[in-house]
Amino acid sequence: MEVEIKPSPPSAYDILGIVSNATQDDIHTAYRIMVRRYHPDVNSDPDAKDLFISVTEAYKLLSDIAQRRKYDVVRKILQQEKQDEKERDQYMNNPFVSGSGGFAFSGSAIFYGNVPFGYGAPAMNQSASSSMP
Amino acid sequence: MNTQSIVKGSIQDITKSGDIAISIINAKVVVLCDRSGSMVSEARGGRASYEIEDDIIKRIQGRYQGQIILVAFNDVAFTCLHGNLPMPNGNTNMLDALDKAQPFADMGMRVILITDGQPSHSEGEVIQRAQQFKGKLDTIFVGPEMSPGADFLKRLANSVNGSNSICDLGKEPKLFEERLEILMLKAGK
Repeated sequence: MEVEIKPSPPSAYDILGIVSNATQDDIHTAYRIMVRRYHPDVNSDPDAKDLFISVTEAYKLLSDIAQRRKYDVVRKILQQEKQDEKERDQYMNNPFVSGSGGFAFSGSAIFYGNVPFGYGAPAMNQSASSSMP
Repeated sequence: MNTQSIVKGSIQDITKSGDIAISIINAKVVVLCDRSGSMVSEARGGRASYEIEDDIIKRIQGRYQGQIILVAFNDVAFTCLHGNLPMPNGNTNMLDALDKAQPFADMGMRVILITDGQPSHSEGEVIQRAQQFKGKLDTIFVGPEMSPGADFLKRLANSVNGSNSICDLGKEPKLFEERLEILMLKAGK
């Protein structure tokens, strides 16, 4: 088993250098500043063109209120899943946890070594029955 | 975390090194795949239902690149953005699967529920929770036609004005793939 750690790519907010609760005015202002900084006509740095494209895409996304709302929801979902995964890893590394069967806790799933067992495995969700699916 | 290959056309595949949240909001369909213990039953030619399902889901992701948010469910539900489904295990928590799909459905995505069993929770509870997907949810039953789960899924789909198909993976894997493809086309309209 290998652990692959990748740095998170910058969000649209990071790219524009604004906070996630920035107003539409903040977004427009940040975009204008970034355009002045990275427009290929004014910046000869070889990375400037790519940065300019990223800035424009981030602006397009965040200045569209409906798209921004969706984006924010998805970011929250991804953060929650990251948190669930962290809890899962902590649980897996707990030496008092036995390693058989499958179980669930706080919105995460555990799979042990890809073993296809787990009928009637104890589910912590009280309302779920433990009967065969 | 296992280092897994990334399925061609999956959300992670089309994202490359960028912001995965942007890829997600551009998807069109949430596919909820049952990965409960019953999916390990042998279906065809020594292969289990889940293996047949895996192949088909991978092919569909390849054909509809970046359009599918894959969610697996058993004791709980979780997204599989790399496009791989986990080994089957545990119960059939359809409530959690529906909850997971809810925010995506609110964004206008369609939902396809694929299962071979009955929910771990009461059927009434699941049907009630599904009402928020009216006109957006279709179902595919992938177990034997005479299973009690087949009847439940039909009732579930009917209650939300969705379509339901029965495609026994052991007998008609092709039919499952065709049905899934039709639902993908429907979502693209």
